[in-house]
Amino acid sequence: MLWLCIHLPALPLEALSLPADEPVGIVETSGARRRVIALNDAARRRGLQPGAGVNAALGLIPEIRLLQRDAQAELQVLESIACWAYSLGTPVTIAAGTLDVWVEIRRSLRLYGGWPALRQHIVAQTRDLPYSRNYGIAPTLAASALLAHAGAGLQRPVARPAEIHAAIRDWPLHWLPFEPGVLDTLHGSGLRRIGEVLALPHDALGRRFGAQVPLSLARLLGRVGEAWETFEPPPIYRRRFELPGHAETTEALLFPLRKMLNDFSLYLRGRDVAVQRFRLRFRDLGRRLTQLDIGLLAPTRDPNRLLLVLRERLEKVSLAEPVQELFLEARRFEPASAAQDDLFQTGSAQAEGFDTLQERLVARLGADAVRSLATTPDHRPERAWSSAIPEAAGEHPPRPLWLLPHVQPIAMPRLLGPPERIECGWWEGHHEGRDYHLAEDPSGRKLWVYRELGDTQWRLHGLWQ
Amino acid sequence: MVRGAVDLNNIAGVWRGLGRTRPDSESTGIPALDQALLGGWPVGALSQMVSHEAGLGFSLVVPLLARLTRAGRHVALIAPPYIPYAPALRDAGVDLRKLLWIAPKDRVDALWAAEQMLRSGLYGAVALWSPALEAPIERRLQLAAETGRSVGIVAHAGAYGAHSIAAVRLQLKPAAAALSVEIVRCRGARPGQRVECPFPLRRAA
Repeated sequence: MLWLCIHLPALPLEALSLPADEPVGIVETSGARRRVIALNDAARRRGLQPGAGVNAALGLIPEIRLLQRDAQAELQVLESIACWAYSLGTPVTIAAGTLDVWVEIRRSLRLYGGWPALRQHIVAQTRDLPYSRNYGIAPTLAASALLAHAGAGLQRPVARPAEIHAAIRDWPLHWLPFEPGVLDTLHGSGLRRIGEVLALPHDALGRRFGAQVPLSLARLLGRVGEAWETFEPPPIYRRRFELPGHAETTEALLFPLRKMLNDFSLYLRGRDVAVQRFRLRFRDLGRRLTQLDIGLLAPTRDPNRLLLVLRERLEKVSLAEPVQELFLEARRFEPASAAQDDLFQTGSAQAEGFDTLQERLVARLGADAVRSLATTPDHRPERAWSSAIPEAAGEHPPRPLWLLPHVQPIAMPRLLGPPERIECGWWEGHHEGRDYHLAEDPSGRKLWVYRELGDTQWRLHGLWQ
Repeated sequence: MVRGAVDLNNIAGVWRGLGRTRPDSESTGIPALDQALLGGWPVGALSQMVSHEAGLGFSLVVPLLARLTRAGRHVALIAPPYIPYAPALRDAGVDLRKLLWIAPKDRVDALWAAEQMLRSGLYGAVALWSPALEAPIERRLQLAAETGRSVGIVAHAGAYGAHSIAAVRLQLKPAAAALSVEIVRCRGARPGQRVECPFPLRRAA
């Protein structure tokens, strides 16, 4: 096995959609103790350190916003990353507790023809990822995680179990995946580096700390097999997002939505599919659920395009009460065409722009407001304009540019030409024989009028200018 | 040219005399009108058509739609007062696949669509039917047309708005065997000219 571990160190903060300009801290409760485990830059600049107690944090920054850690939101992000990782190889596995995602890349390595090419691919694919991340590559889950947590990066992959020891021995020992108590005791015994711990006799470690410690060292070095639970991308995409504050305008929804759509895009890329229809629902403080079904002209997995379409739809929505929760759901997926991946998006920029604009028009105005014209072969004028079925130019006398949506009875106009008899449709049960004329009203406006056979009433059907 | 001298052609508002043609214009397809408008519909600007009857003036726009669509450009009709009749448009040479008809629910949506489409640069011409535009709205659309290098045509039925920044303003009236077009304003041209546009339109080759 060769595992790529993706570790997301700032996920407790990044999984929530938070303003950057005010100090925010994420609080974790263990027993009676509530500690701040993650801080944004604004809070850090004020001198607060992660690990501080809640009271200490409030003492230092009275206006700090403290939010409970949201394990569900973190898991959703990890799953999105896992879905994307699926495009790199299988199996994929997740550890929510340590904020890690692993993917087995030995086969991709062969496919890409070596590490530099695969690394380049990974870097390009994750360039826009809005999450801080560290990578580690090693033949065991534990060693790749250790390297990722320590920040080893993509430059020096550890290819064989025999190389693990040399790769980790110089790191400080607190990166070892042990309980804090165990690490403190080791540190208290004067040990500082991982190499020094590995040099200790295993049975002595087992007697001092229990069998778990030497066993996990053996796993780390690849001497004992590891177990993992394989992650499979779910066939239906469903995500829930709770807003840290309430959104009172649809504008305020765009920021969390951008995040949701980014995660959605990871899922789509991982499964190598695109989406044409999806559903957004949001729940407000009054527990009312609003549902928007979004359709696109062509399948896509570009989060910016999805956001653009959603924004138009949202502009039409007025919120009765502040929104608290968002749900994103997609059940049907379409095959993705390579043309829509950002990397290859050069040739059809114009066509792309056209589709995007049209989608925005449809999103805001409604599908029936955006029409294209085509002629149909029916001779009856009111049926000869409807959309779809383009027809080769049939021969007929000149026709007016405007057709009235509803025929209007008028007084007899001044007729300017001979009649054109239009008669068909009798097989459908209505007998429609009409004599059409070019005519003129008193102002000089050119009209298209008709009289039904056997009737004296003139009717206005079109205008020429 | 003398070094340091100012090129008068670069100064907006300098009277350059009559009879020149504007470089950035699209032919109307009607020679007499092209001549009066110094080349045709200005590109990247708004033109205004006013008449007392809804829909009058479509026949002036159709030749432009035909030429642009056959050159592969897209064109749009926004909030027309009647159904643009496909067989007639096709006969006039319009490639219907390139024509989009926007039928918005209300005026706000119509103006929004007009601005989006003018600004996008994806539409060679956008014709909007609307009651007279307030000055700020007109400025927005003018700016959008400028950005997208599009021909913006606004048609409204009724009296003139007192003020308009449109580069071209036309007053339309039906006339015997013709459509009478008075050029109320055209930058660089003498105002008050009248052109009789023949009717019916010749069938496109």
